[in-house]
Amino acid sequence: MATTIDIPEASTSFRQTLLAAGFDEAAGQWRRGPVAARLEEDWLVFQLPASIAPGHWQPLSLGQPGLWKPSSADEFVFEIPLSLLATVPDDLDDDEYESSANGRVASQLADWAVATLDPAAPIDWHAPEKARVQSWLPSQSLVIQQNSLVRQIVLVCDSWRLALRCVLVPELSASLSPARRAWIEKTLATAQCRWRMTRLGFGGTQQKPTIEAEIDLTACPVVLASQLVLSGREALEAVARRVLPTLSVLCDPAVPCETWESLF
Amino acid sequence: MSELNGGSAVADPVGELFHFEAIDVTGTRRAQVADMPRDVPVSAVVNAVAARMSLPDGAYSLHDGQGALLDNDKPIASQIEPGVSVTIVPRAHLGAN
Repeated sequence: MATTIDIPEASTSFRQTLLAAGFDEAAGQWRRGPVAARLEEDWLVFQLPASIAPGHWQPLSLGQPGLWKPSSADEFVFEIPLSLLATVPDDLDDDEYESSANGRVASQLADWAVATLDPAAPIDWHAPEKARVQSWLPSQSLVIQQNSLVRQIVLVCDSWRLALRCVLVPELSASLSPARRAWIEKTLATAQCRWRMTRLGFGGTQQKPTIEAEIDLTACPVVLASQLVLSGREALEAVARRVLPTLSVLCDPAVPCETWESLF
Repeated sequence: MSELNGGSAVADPVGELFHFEAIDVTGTRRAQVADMPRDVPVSAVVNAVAARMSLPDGAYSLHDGQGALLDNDKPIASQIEPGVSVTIVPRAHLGAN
């Protein structure tokens, strides 16, 4: 599927960032293999057409390493906060930028996105020590209280995995109708498109299904891990606060609603 | 390569949920709380319970069955047993500001 990425007036730093990250510009698009890149406000967005996305990437699925997630029916995205890139003098030439700290960061981020495209590809990576990651996250920052609801962000950190997860709905009732479940899926898909970095989906077990949100930083550049963890925590809290009130009602079988019992 | 690249090795983030009953100081409002993560501090729990019971805005504290004040900074599950009743009490501020 052809993808058009508009970069009306790519700034010098953006152009240099992408050059350092191994992207080439052609016909107004920045590409590195199948991956395109664009700027959206304060975010660097890598993009992959859904038509060539790996088969295991299903909508509302959780657990795959990295930040790839569907953002529409047509594309998957991998979103990076531009705040990871420090302000640099704008008078560096391309070679100077590439060898600068920012150039190396840009390259590592793009390598991460590309490396997590293929689930079978070997990735030489180890997560930081769990105690070190915990030191970046005060325990209070892992609690989300939204009116009557309290949820906890859980750090998943072992040698091959680094992720933040939050159970939004601890047990999805089996008594919900298919139409109501479709509304829930639509709510999750919409939120997942709207909020950066975060994947939303179904987890738990067959006996006790859950709805969860996650930020998966597995295989991220370790030198950026602390900043990514902090950005990820903020992103996770933002989406949880936004969707929790809706999900708590939508997933409660004791709350009747005729609209939710009809398929859209 | 790690088994994680298949994307299936995910730790269970649900953990055990904690349940208890909350009663307001007048004894007229009760709430069964069954979805509280065990490790959250009482400070988050008390605000959620107040909202769940539609109590007026303000500061509240939780007291166990013997009237002892629960520590706001410690996890709820470390201070009471599952299933017990706790009382939610408005915090009194005595004297001048």
